[in-house]
Amino acid sequence: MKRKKRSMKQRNVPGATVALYIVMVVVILGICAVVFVIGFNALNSNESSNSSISRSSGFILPNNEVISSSSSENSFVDSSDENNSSSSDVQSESSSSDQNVWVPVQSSSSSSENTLPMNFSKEFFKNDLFIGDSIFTGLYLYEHIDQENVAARVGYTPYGALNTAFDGRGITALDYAKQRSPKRIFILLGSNALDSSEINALKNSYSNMLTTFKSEFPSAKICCISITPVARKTDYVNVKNSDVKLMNEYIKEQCKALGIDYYDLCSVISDDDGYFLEEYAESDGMHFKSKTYKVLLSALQKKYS
Amino acid sequence: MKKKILIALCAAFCLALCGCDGGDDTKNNSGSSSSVNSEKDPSDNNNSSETASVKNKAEQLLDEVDFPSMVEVKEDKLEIYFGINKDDVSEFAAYICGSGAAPDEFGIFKAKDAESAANIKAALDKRVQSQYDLFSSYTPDAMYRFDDDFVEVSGTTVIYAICDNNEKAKEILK
Repeated sequence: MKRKKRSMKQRNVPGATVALYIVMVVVILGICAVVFVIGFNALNSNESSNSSISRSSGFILPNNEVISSSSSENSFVDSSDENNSSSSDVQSESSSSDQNVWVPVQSSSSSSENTLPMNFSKEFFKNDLFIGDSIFTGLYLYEHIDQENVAARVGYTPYGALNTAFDGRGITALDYAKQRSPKRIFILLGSNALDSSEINALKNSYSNMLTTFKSEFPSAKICCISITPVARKTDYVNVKNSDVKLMNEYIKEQCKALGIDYYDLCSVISDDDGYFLEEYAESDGMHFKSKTYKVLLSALQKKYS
Repeated sequence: MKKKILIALCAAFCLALCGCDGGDDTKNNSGSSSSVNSEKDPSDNNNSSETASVKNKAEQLLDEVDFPSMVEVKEDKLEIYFGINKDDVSEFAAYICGSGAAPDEFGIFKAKDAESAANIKAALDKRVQSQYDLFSSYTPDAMYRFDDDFVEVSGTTVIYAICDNNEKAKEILK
């Protein structure tokens, strides 16, 4: 009897060992499955969150700002600074300084959502007003800026800002600004008039608009943003980048004379030949992609912080 | 001894199954179709399948028709953009052109009842007219998109579109 029990025990030992091995293998497989699923999900979320910048080789600032290869801050012309004779001068000066350390973003896969852009906030602009045409409607359509901080409409012009309602309430951008008493006023207008009117007429209406805003809002900081160019492939064949350049020179001069800031967005989002870079341009070759607003707002916040 | 082995095996299988299941939760959470005033009964499978259907149709349309950069309309913008009272809507998916470049937009709305559907249709009719007025002098070349635009009601579902291929849009959203 004792011998029989012993022999049974001897037979059971290898069986239990095998079972133990099976348990270990299954446990390891389980752990691998968990690790795989977590890793796969993390990779997926990174890809989707980074898709907007994956095609550009932008630069990321130390404070996580992603921006194009030329610094948008460098394209500011502060009206009070007489040394800033042109935006290109400013760029070369600033790029030679070590104030900003640029860290290139290599690819989307090496970045995570936490390390990516958006170092502007709606909160920063909550007391400001953006006046513009259809391009600025994108500020609230993409939800970068609250709609109450934007006075813009499709086809709006410098003349319209003083005389034409921008929404269903029948109020002009000027009157809306009076209601809100903004801390800062950002203006991006001129593209539509470039398409439809003589450049001299546009110059007059733009100058009139600036003078009016300057006198109506003496304590507000006003900043004009350059008219942006069209891309090589565009639906707006009547708009010529030579006219854009000419008009921007005029706006810059006017800003300087009136003590208004000027931001040369044009040079930031253009290629060497002056065309709107495709990575920033909407499919019509004129309007902005969502990330173009991010570039603009990041620069403005940085400038006025 | 055998019992212990069996328990260990079961535990290991459970662990493995849990590991495989984890991914689906995050994917479901990322669904972007909007549900309005959703005090949902968790057992209400019809509602969730309706949500999936609305979302899938919108995504299919985005895939199959040429659009400029589109942005999804959130619930808090229904009134602002369309004049639609959110109390009239149980589920919806709607997209508009984000850059302001073009009149393109579309939506599919599940109304709470027939009266709500009529309200939504009236609001969308106004919206389409408003877009037409806004863009007629701005993008004359894009106005063909209004040639066969539509706002249609079927039961308590309202669909509409202004886009490059309205016929295809109607086929998908229906």
